[in-house]
Amino acid sequence: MSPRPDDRVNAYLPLTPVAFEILLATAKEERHGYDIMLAIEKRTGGGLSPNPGTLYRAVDRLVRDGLLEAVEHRLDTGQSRRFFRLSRLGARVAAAEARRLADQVKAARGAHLLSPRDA
Amino acid sequence: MRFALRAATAVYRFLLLLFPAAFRRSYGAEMGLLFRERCERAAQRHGLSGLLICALRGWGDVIRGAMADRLHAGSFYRSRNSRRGAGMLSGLLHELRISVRTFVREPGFTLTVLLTLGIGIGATTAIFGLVNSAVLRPLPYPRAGQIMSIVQSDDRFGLVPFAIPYLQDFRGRLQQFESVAGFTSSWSLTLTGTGEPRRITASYISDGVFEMLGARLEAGRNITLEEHASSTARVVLVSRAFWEREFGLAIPFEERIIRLDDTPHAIVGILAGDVRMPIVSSIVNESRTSAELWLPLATNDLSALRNTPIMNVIGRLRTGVSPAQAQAEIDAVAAVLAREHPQLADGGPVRVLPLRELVSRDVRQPLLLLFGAVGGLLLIACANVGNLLLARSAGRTGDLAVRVSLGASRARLVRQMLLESFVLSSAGALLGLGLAWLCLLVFPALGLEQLPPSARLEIDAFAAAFAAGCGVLTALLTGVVPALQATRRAPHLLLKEGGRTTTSRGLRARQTLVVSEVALSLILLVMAGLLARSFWTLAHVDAGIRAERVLAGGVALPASRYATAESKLRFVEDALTRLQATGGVERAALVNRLPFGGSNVLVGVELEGQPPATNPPTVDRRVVSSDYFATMDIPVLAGRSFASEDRATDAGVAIVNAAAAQRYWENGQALGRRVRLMLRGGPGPWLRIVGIVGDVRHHGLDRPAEPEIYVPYAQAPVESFVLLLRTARDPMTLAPVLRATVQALDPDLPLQNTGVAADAIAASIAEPKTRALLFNAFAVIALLLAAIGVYGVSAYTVASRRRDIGIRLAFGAQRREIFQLVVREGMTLVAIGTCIGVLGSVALTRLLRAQLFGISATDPLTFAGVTAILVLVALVAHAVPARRAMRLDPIQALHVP
Repeated sequence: MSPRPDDRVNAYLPLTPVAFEILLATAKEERHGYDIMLAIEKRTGGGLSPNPGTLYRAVDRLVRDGLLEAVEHRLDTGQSRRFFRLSRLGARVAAAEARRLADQVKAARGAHLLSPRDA
Repeated sequence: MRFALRAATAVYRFLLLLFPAAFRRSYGAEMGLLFRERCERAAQRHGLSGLLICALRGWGDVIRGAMADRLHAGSFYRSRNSRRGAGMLSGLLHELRISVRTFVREPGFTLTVLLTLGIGIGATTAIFGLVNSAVLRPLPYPRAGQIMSIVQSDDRFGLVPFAIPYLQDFRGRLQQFESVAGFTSSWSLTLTGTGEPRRITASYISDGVFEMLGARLEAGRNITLEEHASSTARVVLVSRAFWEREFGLAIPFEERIIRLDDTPHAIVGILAGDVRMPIVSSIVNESRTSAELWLPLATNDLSALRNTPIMNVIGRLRTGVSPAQAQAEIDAVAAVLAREHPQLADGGPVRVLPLRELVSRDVRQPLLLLFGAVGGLLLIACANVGNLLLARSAGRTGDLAVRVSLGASRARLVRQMLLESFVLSSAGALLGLGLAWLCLLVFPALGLEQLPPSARLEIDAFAAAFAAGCGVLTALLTGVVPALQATRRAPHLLLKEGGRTTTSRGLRARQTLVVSEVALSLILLVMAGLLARSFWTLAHVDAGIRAERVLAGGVALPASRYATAESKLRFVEDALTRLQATGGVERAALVNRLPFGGSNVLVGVELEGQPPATNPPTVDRRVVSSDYFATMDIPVLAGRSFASEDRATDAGVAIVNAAAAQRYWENGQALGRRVRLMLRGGPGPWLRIVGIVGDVRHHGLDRPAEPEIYVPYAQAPVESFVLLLRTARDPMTLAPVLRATVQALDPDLPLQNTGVAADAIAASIAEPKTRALLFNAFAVIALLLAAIGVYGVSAYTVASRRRDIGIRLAFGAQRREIFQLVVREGMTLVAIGTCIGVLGSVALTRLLRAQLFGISATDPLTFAGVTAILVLVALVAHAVPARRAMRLDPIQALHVP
């Protein structure tokens, strides 16, 4: 008996911050590793800057679980670099994670832990 | 920077090996690139420190990640699924646990290895701690690399400081220096008015000294420039320790008046922390205690004299100026100055030396030698552990064979064995670190006084890293050979050999280790033997005095109350008369400077009948009372001693030592001749020589006696001197009497450094003694380790040849022959090692030459003696297994499968 689609998505939750950021960074365009790191640093204003070990271990796991797709591209320099883009499953997992986080934020606001300005 | 970046990336790439191969193939190259880019960015932003932090983070990230991956083979980002433990332990950690478990199961083996490594690494780390603090580490001053010391170097007395007026000359003329400052080393002042009168160590400083040395004010204010310029400014800065001791812990700072040498001085500030003045001169360095008071240089009584070298000069180079450029400038300036002030040339050529070099120059070579010795000890320890591991791996051949046939790759087995030696050496390194820490606690008690005071003795991160490095090195040294050795052969061969415990190859490796152990320990033994013999010779040099039963106590009469010669003379006569009358006192005398107390006063001398030279010969001048020679047991060789008739008003008299008589007068005919001393204020009166006395080696037991001249106290009343009491009892029992007598005459007069006069002689050779002791301790440990190694190989050989021996016995070989066979084979190795060791010693003991006294670096007696000891110990180490072989029961021996 195969699990229901939602169960399959929920099995990946909650995501670690780095994994979630990687999914966010590759949502709109495919990027290579360095690019992903720059995107994460830019989005978080330097607050999160994963070391290469952490980054690639997360990427490797995401690829193996099918949340990311890896594509080999030949660069102008003749070298080939691996690019990553969000898979359909990855997009659903990221959306589910975002909903989960939004729900938590809503709860925090309800408990008056956040001022309106923090929104 | 580029090199650092490349090195950091190389380490990173190496660490990536920790990841599984598949992961590495997919991402390794890109991770390396990414790491490099990150580090480059960090370096651009924050320089070298940024690069270092980034690299450390990156490395840590890899190690952590790889460990985590191996620990949790499941998903790592799905926290819900993180299944810790539960049979998921794999790879490295699993193997780690296996090795720890095996070691716990073999406590004898493990303990031996740990102790051997611990002692080796501990001793090496402790000595490294010394070397690091005394030689390698920059001095604890800001931009210490730019601070230079300006000194005069004299052939006879080493480095000489400058007279105070030269500071202004240097400041006005030196362009290559950002700033130049001067200070006297330690200066003793009498503190009165706060309890019992005491002598306090002070330093007179120019402005700019504290800025250069990075000393900070904690409270109050600094000495102002006006005060520095005035010779009458009675202001003083004190150390935190002084303030707390004199006024109490919690007393806040306020200006206070203290009396120093009977003159009121205002304390204007407290210096923060522990200010360590660099000791830079070999002559002024009278006491090794650090100064606690600082006064303006201009207020020193001798600040206007150009012939009294008491000031150390330090300067900070301008950015970009090399010491060679500064030296060139100094040469030019000194040439001009020497024309203006001819006496400057007496001190020898002026030199610019980095302060670091100067401060550590006396200890550098001995410490590095000690470090080499202890490194040899570590190598011997490694050889021993390698030996043990080889024996152990040989015993595990069967076990390994089974694992290989079950599919374990050779790489995996090697990794397992390397991991085992890593576990052992990490534990050994930890133990060693503990031992090193203990050693550094003990070193000061052993009297390693030659350390420059600016060195701090401690195990810092650098020394800890060194111990860790030793651990890794020993793991590689001890682990690689056994690991490769044990896994070299094909599995079916291994299985076949499984039951037996020896292979010829393993034996050869062990024999090589034994030969090198023997050679290394012989070298250490020879060095230790040479140093011990040298020290013995030094300790038995006739110092020229016999002072074991003489009590000494220093007195300094303050100029304010003892201004006239009569007042000083009256005090001295009263004191000596009273002391002489005390029960238990055989003789009482005084001398201005205690022999071997570390300070001598050299004055120029003019001999009657010879034209006054521009560069007059110098003599060591001592002012003594009439009974001095009898009190110190210095023989009067000709003429007479001083007597009470040598009064102040009489014609001047003097006594010279044999060295002076020989050097300055034909056939030593000095009696009746007249000399004149070149004193501070100009030439003194003519003195008739009335006696010749025996030589005293005032400049050190290892140096020849210098010419000396003695003058009677009555004719040269100096303000500071040492009272001496000869007794038949333990001299220290007279200390209260001496104190009471001085107090009775003047309650405000402190008695300083009371002690047995002979102790000064012992203290003067404390450093070679410590060195000889340390070397010998290392050599004994080395000998022990080598003996264990020799015994191990011998026992191993016997055990592996039981069958062979059994057959020989069965065929009628004499037991004596078996004994001889084993010993002969073993001693062949020892003989080879000894030959290599002797050759190595001949090559290496040359380095010791500067530290040896009275014997040559290739002293045949020492070489023969220590070789005999080594051979004897090796013989015993062989005899035990040989006896066992001799007593083998042939039936049993042949039964061994």
